[in-house]
Amino acid sequence: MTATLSRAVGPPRMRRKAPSRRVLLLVLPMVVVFAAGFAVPLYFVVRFSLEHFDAAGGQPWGFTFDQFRTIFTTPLYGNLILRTLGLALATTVISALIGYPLALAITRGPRRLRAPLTAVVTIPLLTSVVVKTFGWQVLLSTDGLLQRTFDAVGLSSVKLINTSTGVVIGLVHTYFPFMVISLVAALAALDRRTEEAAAALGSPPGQVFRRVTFPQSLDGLAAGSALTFVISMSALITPQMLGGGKVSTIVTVIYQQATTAQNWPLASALGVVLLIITFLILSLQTLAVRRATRG
Amino acid sequence: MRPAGEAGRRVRAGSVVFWVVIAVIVVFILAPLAVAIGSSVTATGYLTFPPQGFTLKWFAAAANDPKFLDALWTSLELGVATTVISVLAGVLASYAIVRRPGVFTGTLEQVLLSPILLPAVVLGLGILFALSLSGWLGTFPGGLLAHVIIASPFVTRSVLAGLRRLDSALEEASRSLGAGAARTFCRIVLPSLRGAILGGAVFAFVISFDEAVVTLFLTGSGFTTLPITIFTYVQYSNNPTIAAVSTVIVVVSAVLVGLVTRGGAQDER
Amino acid sequence: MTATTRRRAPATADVDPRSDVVLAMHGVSVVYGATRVLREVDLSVHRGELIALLGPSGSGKTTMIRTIAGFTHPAEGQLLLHGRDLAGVPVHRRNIGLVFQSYALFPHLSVADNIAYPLKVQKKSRAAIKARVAELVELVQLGGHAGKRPARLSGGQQQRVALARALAMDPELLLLDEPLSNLDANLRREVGEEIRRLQQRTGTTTIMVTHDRQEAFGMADRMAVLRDGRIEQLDTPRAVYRRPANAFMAGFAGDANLIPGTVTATGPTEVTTAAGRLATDDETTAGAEVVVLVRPEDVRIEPPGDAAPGLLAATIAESFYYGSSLVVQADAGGVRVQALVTGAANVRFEPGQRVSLRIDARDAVLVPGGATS
Repeated sequence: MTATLSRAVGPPRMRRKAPSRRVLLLVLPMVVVFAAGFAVPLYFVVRFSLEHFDAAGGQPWGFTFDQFRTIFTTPLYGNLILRTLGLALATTVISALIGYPLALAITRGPRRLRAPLTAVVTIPLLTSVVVKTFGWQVLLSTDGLLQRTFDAVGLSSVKLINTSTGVVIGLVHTYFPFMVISLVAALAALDRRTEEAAAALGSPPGQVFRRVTFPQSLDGLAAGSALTFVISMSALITPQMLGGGKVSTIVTVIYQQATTAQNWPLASALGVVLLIITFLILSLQTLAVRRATRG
Repeated sequence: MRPAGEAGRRVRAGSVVFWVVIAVIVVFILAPLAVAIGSSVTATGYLTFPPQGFTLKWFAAAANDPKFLDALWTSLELGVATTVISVLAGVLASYAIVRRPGVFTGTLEQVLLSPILLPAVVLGLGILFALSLSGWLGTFPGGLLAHVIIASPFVTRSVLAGLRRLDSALEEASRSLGAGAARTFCRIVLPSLRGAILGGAVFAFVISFDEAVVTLFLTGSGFTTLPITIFTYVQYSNNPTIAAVSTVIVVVSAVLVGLVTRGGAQDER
Repeated sequence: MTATTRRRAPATADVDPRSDVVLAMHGVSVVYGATRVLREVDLSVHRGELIALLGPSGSGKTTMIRTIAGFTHPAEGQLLLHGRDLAGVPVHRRNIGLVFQSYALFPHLSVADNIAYPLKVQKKSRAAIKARVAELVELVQLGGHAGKRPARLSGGQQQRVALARALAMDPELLLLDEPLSNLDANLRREVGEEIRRLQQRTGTTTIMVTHDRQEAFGMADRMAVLRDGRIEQLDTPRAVYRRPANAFMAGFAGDANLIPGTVTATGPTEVTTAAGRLATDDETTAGAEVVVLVRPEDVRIEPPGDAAPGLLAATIAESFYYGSSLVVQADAGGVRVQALVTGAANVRFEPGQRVSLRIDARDAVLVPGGATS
């Protein structure tokens, strides 16, 4: 055999630098787009939220917490935030009530129903929110089919169009697919043998669901709820079209302030508040999941 | 599950209730779409459901209205441009993220996917500021920038998942057979990712085509999309033409849904 | 404690010294973070031979072929392919074929297109590609499957496609990573023999990684046994089996009886053990403490007899009948000795039965380094 020619060659070549230059080249297009369309815009939102409102136009580059002070001291905005959270909460709860049976039907029902039911969930997701909401407008309007049905059965006191009720109906319809997708993922990932084991141990189907299936799907439920909550909280089209100006949320006010009132600082401050609430809810959910998996 | 006897009968009764609930939910989901389609053929001069009579004149009216045609054209152009940019930039970035894991690429992945969770209204607000201050507000490129931010995360996510499923031995095999990095990428990686890219592209197009929130902040006299036109139109008009336009959108979406599910693309939001 | 053991010249045919060296590794070390996966490996691979890299998982054998292929870079040492330094030569310019454990067939290409891939990379003419692909398809007996996608082939067929694809580029060296591990157990030997025939017919210099010693024995001209990133022994399968480098190798190469004793006579050598004296052809110094290796098939069981060199007094402990053979465990002065009895359908042994174990001098091998290591 050959003699040992052990010689140090040093760290494996000088090519270490090359890949990172290649990485930069590959990500460059996306980074440019995100710098212009994401980083700069977010910077402006934060920057304008710390600005005076100068109705006369022209933005003097100042620095103030005036906008946030207004938001947190005026009952008008306090109520606005509470109403936004309330609408999102109602949407989330109803979405869970509707989404869970649907997710069960998709994952546990007959195989031949799986594709059509999945399509039923996907179609509203891929249909423009404007179109869907327009359909609801027709259904919920004073002489619409649903309102007339309500009137006929003696529920004429319940008004659907231009009310929170109508907005929640529209929000649920728009955003419950997110709940279903989370739940389907959780239920599909669940080990079916645990259900079979519970049945073999003598549990009737209802008990199997309560004791075995449902507890194992809680993570998916939490993820779906957090998602549905933050996304419905940020809805603009639905409250605008079904609320008819009578149901305002943080988002509709942001839109009015930014466009009609041209009060960029106030709109920005409300945007920052919305961002913070979104971030808190998503963190809370991550934390809850982490605690559950650790405990 | 087919349990016998009395317990079985109870289960069957329970599942009847269950499937009735499912049926009601399905009706709820499809109702507004049925309304949009149904009221497009009403013979009345105003929107109503169920439709009274049958006519296709509202489709003709929509087809002859330059307002809708221009908006439809803009929406299609915007959707195609958004998709092309999202796919090109998204595939390259995803490849770097998956094949060169590190702090930089890890952070980049988070950022590139974050528009999915970020409130669209905040993004719309920010882009409104940026475009107004730079003089691009109400222009097609401005809208395109916004749409790429909103739609590209879906391409990126789909391609990332596809790449992570891809056996890295395929690339190594190609290299060992004498192919360089570029050839390996074009001949082995891209063809293997076809499904993921296609799924992401269809999704990006639909997201862009349907987008209304961010676009609402950015429209101007020279730039408006079909959803925004519908949104504005229904604020002041009760004319069934809008139902005809909506029907077209529903049909396009349904066809694309069929493509996505037929193509076997994985679940996407 | 260690005896200086002088070996006889190897009886088995060694590698022809005139054949040229295709691959030479000199003091190659590979480091992953803080762990040294390969430690100063030296290896010369000669033209046309098949070397098996054998070792348990984590011994560094896969790292070794990934280093040769160019996916991993050595921290120290040198790799020469036909005398050309491979440092800085990227994977795709090495002309080293690699058959992956998972085969890594391109799923979107047909069998023929998979095989044609390296030829297209080399920008061969269309006619040349067609001819070469047809030739290779014939070589690996895949006629009629050329148009199929890999997913429609069986595991054995996929493996042959991977082999043909790697051979298509006329590699200077072929690397096979666990070529048989993804096949059904009953197919392995057949496919292994086929690969060997193919390798010999094409004269392709080959390095094969395996964790199965039967594969290594059956297919290789020489085998390198790796342990903790080092080559423990590099030799022909016969030499590795008959003349292991140390006690670890003795056990790794097959079932082994390791009987300790003291050298009490030289020329010829005699070793006194707890159960009697053993004669061996190996030479060593008198008084040395040694370990004698005897393979089970070289132990013959006889009726108890007088003490003589080559005879150990023993008691049958237990026996297991395996159809073609009988495995007998006997106690020889506190040492467990295993005997493999073949062609003895009617022979029976009862536990407690006293016997003599006969071991010929040529089958008793002194293990270098004693029982340590």
